[in-house]
Amino acid sequence: MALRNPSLREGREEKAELWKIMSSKIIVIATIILLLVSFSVLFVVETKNHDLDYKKSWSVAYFENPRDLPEAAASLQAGDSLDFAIENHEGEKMKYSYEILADGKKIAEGQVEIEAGETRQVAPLFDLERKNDARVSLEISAKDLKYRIYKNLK
Amino acid sequence: MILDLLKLILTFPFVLVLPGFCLLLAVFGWRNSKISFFEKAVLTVPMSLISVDFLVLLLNRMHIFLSGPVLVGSILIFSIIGYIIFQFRFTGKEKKEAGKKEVLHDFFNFSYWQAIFILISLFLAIFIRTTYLSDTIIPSSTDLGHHMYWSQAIVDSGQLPDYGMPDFIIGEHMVFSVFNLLSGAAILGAMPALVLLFFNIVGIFALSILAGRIFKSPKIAAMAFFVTGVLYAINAPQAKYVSGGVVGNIIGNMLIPVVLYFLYRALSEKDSVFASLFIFSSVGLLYTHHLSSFILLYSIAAIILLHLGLNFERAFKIMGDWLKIFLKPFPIVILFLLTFYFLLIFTPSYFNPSAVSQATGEPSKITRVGLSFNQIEANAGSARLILGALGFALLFWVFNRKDYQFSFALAWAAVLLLMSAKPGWLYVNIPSDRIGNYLYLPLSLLAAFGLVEFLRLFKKSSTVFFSSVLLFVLLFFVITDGMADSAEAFKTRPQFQEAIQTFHSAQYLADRLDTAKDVVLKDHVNIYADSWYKLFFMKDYRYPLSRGNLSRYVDPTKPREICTRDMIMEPESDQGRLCFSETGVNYVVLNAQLEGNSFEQYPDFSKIYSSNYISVFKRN
Repeated sequence: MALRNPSLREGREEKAELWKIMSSKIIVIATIILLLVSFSVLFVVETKNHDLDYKKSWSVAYFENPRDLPEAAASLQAGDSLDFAIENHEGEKMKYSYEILADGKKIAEGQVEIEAGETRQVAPLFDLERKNDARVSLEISAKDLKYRIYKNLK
Repeated sequence: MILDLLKLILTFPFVLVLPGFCLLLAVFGWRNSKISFFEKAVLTVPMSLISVDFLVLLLNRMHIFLSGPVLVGSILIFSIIGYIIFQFRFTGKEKKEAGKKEVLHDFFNFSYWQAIFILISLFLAIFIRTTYLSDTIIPSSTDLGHHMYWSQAIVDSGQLPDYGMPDFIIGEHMVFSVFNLLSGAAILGAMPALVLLFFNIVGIFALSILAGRIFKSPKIAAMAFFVTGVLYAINAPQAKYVSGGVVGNIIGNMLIPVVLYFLYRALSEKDSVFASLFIFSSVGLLYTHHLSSFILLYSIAAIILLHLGLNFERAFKIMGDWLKIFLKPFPIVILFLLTFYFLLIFTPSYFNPSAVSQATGEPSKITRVGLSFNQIEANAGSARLILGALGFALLFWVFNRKDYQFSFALAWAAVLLLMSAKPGWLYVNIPSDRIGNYLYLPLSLLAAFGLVEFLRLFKKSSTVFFSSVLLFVLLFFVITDGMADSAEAFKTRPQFQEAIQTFHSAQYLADRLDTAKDVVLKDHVNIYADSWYKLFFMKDYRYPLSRGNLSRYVDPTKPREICTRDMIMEPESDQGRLCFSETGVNYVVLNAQLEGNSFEQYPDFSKIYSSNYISVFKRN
């Protein structure tokens, strides 16, 4: 019935024509909005997850100065650097125990408590009497985690 | 974070809209019956990309240090020049013509339902891609890592690099450097993937305007959004190529339809303005990706030959018409300028006779002899292949074979199918699966046409029940098969922790080593995101050394370097020791759970770094 009314039909046709003119602009604007949302989501996801701690659970231990590690047991002397660091990215405060072993025998030990996301540097005291040892190891443990770094001496 | 995001988002229109908009303004004016708003909006992005690339090439040739302010100034000057040309050419004329009714064959004024269909398709296309990318957005892919090394090199040195190898093309790297220099967005961040995603989405639009023009139908232009954007949205060369950083293909897939769009309009409308833009965009592609250019060259040759063949009796007249289109001042000036660019400003690294001879000839390897039907089906997607075949068949029924639309739609698909299945017939000697990745372009075009024509034919059918059932079955198959890969978007397991640990170990070494004396070897096989390692050192593209996939060390045609393999697999063997002394490698980075454990037995190595995922060993 409505379509038989010429004024209503003309109104509808005008609307359809107007829509046709506007449709491409609406599509372009909608795409821009969709892309803005998409880019924002992806950018935030990437930035958050690029953080060492965000939704992650891991630790790492390393020698602070790998280039300056002593080369030979015989030439070992005070001041040689076996400084190491532990980083806590477990998402909670952790207590790390460490043992220093010379050819498997414990020569020193200690504990450090590290807040989530923080790094602790440790400068262990080294027993200079044991000059024939071939491997000096640092074994770090916390809960069920265990890390080992070591220096094999000639 | 919000400020960084805002800067990045504002860089998009400045780099990828403004220059192209002003260029098109200078060429077509504000309103022009030749080209619709929709087409101009789509073409703005590829035109901007090419313009910015040419600007950077020019600045580099003039030995101007590439920095943020320089790029901002150059883009502004370029845009202002475009605007001045527009004022000079069109101001008076547009006012005079404002009263005249436009005689515009606009195939992009969509009806209400067509627009709704496009909006739903776009929503799905962007949503599926975003969901997939949200699990892979941390930079990790091998290809992207390699490419971004060069983008970072441009940022660090302020000039374009000398690659010293034909594998890389400058157009793959400049845009990322520009984004970094203008927005400050890290190259080791989300920015590269976002730029690629943008090009991927614009590529959908580009194919749609090509479909709209060739088939002269807004329905087919609308359907192209669904076929290109929604079907197989994850599979290569879509979201997987975005996250995988296959830069050349992503940009090539956007530029190829644009080049063909200009060519189609130049030839079918005998228009030298479109001919000029065809030359401009073709050269832009040449500076961006060699394989895409190679595919385009074959596609154009096939289109031309088919059209001449189908109009054999008028062949000389047609060629004469083409000469008339291209031998006009505007195309000649553009051609002259771009030849000048090629010869004196910057010659792409792959542009030499040996590269051409490597890509042409009898297939020299098993991977180059062609794809089987199953491989083609896997490459293009079953639904797209079936719909494409339907469109292919309907072409013969619907169109006059002497028209350009027939030659463009048919020859493009036919030559790519031949190049994929029987490359030897066309003297093509490049990996067949890489060619197969381009099949989706012409097949999407034909699929959109096929689906719309199919619907039209069934509407006319007298047996409503039978036709409805058939239609339902077809659509069910198309949607279920075409969207099956989208499920992957919700299934992937993010490996953010592994990637971050890889970056941490790289930063640890970069902070502490002297790269003039220390040489690092890392394991590409078992370490995630390792190709980004080189960005932490920025010493050389080949630093640190890398143990590659094991198949790479076996090549019956020539001896391969094996030291990077043996130093990890047999470090204590004579060969391993010889390799260490020859290469100077004194740090080895390994997956802690795999070779990291076995390396602890070797007395020549000390373990200096230990995390859940990465172990670093120092050779005594």
